[in-house]
Amino acid sequence: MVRENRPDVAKILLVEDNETNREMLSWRLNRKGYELVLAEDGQQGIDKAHTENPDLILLDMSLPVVDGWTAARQLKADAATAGIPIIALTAHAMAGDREQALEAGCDDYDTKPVEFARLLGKIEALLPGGGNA
Amino acid sequence: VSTPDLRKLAHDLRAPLTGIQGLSEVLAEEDLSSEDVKNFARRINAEAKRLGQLIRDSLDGDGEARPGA
Repeated sequence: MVRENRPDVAKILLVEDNETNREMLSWRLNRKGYELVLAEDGQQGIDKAHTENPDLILLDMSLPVVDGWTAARQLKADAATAGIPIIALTAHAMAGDREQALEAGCDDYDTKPVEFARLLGKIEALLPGGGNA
Repeated sequence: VSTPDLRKLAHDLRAPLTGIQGLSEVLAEEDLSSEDVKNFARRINAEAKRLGQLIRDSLDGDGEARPGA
């Protein structure tokens, strides 16, 4: 297995409470050449957005401690983290979910189950310089 | 079944489904070490069991969420 470890590699903060999904997404994104930082709840996500300075945040919406909508609002209200693009992940996929995520300040939105190629496209579109691809 | 109940059920079912779908795609598409294969297969199995339990709890359980109940 080849894991790229270039210094210019984009860093993604994945905030997801489900361990299997966290492992699955981080494994697949890692294999695509991204560096991954993981958080298990909204507060951890907010904290790591500050300490790790990621290039992009994948934010599950249904999170313990602090939910994804609240986390997105806090991150976008803080000058230190406002510039980090956020892709919301939601398992609801109901009418209004997309609008709620965008209202909270998320830059884009995707649904579970995740279509990986589609998610990659959204990640690459939001990364400066079009990501690692 | 009320709309909030259905919404919650749809949400709860999608979480294990996400892992099952994603990890089975990885098994089908990627060259993996035997350790990764076993780890991912175990996780798929655990999430499938979770999915089954959720269905039993919500639809076959006490009847609260059964259509027409």
